[in-house]
Amino acid sequence: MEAEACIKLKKQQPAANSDEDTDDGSLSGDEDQVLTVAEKLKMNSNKRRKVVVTTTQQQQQEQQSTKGYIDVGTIICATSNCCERLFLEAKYIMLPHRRGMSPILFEALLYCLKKNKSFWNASTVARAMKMKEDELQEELAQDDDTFYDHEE
Amino acid sequence: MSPTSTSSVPGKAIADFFFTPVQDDNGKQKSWQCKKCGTEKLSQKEGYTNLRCHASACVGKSYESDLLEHLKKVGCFVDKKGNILSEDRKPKALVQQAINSFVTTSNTELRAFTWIRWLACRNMPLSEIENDITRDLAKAYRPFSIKTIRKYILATSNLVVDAIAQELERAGFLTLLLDGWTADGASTHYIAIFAGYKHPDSGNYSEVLLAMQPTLDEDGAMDAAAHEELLDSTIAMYKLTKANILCIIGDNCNTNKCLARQWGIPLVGCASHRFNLAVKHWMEDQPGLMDAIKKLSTLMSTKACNLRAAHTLRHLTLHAYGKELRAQQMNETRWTSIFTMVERYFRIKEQLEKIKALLPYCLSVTENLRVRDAFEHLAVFKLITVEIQAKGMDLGHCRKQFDTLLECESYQVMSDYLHPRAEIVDFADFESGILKIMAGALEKHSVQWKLKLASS
Repeated sequence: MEAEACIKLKKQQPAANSDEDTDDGSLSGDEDQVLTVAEKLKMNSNKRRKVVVTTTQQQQQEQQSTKGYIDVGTIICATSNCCERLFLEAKYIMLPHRRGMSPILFEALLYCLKKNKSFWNASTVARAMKMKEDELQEELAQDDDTFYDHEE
Repeated sequence: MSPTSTSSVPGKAIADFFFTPVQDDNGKQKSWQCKKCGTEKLSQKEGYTNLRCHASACVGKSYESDLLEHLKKVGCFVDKKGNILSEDRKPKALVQQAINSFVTTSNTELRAFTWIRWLACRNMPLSEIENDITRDLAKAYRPFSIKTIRKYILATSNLVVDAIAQELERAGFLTLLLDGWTADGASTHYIAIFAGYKHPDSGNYSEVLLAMQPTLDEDGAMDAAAHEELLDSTIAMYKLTKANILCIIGDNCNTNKCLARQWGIPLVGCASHRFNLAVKHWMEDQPGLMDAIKKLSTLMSTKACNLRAAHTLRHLTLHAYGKELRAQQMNETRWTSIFTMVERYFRIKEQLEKIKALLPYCLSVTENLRVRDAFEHLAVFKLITVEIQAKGMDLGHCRKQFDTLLECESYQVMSDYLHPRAEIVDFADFESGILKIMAGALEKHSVQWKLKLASS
């Protein structure tokens, strides 16, 4: 995808220059620099992909020497973007006409049933149906759709 | 037929009736899957005790009489060898269909599962289940009342917690990713907490949603203490302790920094948040750029969206590109919206200039040049933004991309945000430590980190 974007950038260059014929001296100099940065960035990401492949091969050899250590590099993600992606989906559940939904139902819908689909199936539902009402009392007490009424 | 008279129905019939065979990659049968709940059960060569036990637990103790009753209803019988046959010699596929109708019509669990899945995954309001048109459509799945399905949804989500807790226990160490969200118009601030961990089976980086809750504080405070309380209760719910948590990943705001210090767990500032700020800073640093953008924004967001102007614009673009284009509006919080706005501007520039009413708002030649010049730079920033947002992006690669950018003379101003020791980074030592470990100085550092982790 990055590669494509770079190619696009390159292709756009002559076109951009041709319809802007006033002062392209300073512009083209600048663009050269930009291009090299873009290319460098692309190179980096290509390298990363290669590194990922080789580490999987090396992993088996390294596993012995690093046993007991935490592989921090792979666990720590650089961005908290998964939250943003979640909020994008949340928007479609918390629609303007569903504002009265209780937070606990909202969480249940979004949390287990949508985002964590791999953690439940029909047998989970079967077990859930056998749960007695008093086991759920706390949830049921909180599950009140008039939650937001006083705020609106 | 009384439920206690066991083995009156041959095991083979039980297996065929309640289970579907599951085959392995070589086409050899490896196990049986329950048609009702989806659980896989192994069976011994000729014995069906395992399957009988499951059927009695899943369908109920009267599973044998249920079976016979159903077969009688659909005109089938069991022969001495345990084959299920049709009385009027229907083909096998039809017999199978008749058998399966037992599971689809009389099976409350499967019905509940199907309804919940539909409601949750298709974002349906719960009232939909009591809607006549929906009920008409789903005749095979007799619906529940809203109150019942609601109870089942909450109960299921309770059980999912246990399933996730088991997986996290096996994973051992994890990171917490958090961010806040307010739905437009609803005055509740939600905090989403994800866990990032190495999947115990596949070894890949995985993320799982732990909670999406309003802050617990009764006064509605959203300070670090309220966050702390929420995190504490969340990790307790999954039977985790602070020792399991390597670090928190969130925006570089003061609340998060304070939370990390109070909690004693390092914070890794979200790189994409940092980059967003850096780009904004860079744009403000360009002479005259923000003014030009502001003017462009007035043109694109208000003037060109005026009904008459928009109508003319649609006409002109349809003529030029074969499809109707409209002006893209920009939003304040993200610079990427400026990028899309500028991109669209250059596409419809000619057409915009043809509209007489918009002439006083069009950009001057110098302003145009400034925007065009900046556009090339923004395209580079866009590359990085898209790339670092990938799932499981590691710190090392992010650092490398930032360094590449900083090498360039024209992006020096961004170092206020992108430099590894920039003021915005609160736990710079932690981050540089991780980077060193990733670069290969593994053994020495991880020993130290283990010690630090143990002490925290």
